[in-house]
Amino acid sequence: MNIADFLANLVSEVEELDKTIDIFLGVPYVSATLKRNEFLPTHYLHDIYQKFKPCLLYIKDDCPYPNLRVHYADVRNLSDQVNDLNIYSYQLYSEVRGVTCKKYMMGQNV
Amino acid sequence: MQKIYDGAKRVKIYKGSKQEQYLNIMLDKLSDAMANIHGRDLLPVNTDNIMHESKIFKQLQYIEDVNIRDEIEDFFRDRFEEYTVTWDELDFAAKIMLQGPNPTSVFLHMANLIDKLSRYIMTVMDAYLMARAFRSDLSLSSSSNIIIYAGDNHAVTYRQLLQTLGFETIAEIRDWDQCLDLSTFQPFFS
Repeated sequence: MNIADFLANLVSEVEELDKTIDIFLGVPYVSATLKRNEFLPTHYLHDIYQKFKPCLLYIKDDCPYPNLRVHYADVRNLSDQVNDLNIYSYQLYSEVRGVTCKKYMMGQNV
Repeated sequence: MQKIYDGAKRVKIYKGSKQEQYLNIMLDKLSDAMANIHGRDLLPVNTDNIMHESKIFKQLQYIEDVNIRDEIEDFFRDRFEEYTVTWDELDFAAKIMLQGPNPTSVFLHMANLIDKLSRYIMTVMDAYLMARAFRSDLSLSSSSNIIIYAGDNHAVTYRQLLQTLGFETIAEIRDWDQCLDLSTFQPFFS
């Protein structure tokens, strides 16, 4: 069972106890400039974001968990710039040390 | 051509070896990120401002318990001050690069600045999230059930703050173990 299924089960169990759960995800806040989030399937947030995406929308009609509140936690909008910096930093490190790493050259998140 | 940083001003463009080009790009992007930080309401460079004139403060002011609010504010104020990258530091990096590039030593200096910037940006999310979690309508300090799913660098910060506030760790993953024994703290919610 992955973390997304585990949390979904947990939320369902707690619903019977008439309790509410708040889940904070390290997901960027969707704004006028960032209209939606997309994660690579290998990203650690991919599964959990897909599972709870309907509960993150402004209109939560499709959220199947009435006792769940899911919150965006990432109010930063500089993450991409910092990721770029880390990629270039690794490229320079590779140059200096004479090593290569295709994963980083392909621009994946670091 | 050369690129020299004088505060936020770029004077010339520097071209050299591939290593120097990477350094140049890093310097460029670091400068852009810092300019973005300095120019945004969310991230004014002054630590007092970031705590009092931002989305973080909006959450902080909803925390009813003054002691908790002060603890959170002090905790993150220290982090922001520790991780602030100054223009002087960026200028210094540019100058040692132009003195005659020693890619390894310059890289180490740049990597340190990038690490500081990354941690500064990371702290924005952490301060916002913790302040939000302790708001009176959620109130981690009462019996609400709150789950945070984030990367380990964030989680380390949350643990440190919660310990500062007197919270107790009832289970944790140690070393490289990927599994948590859930039986040690059942039921989750009573």
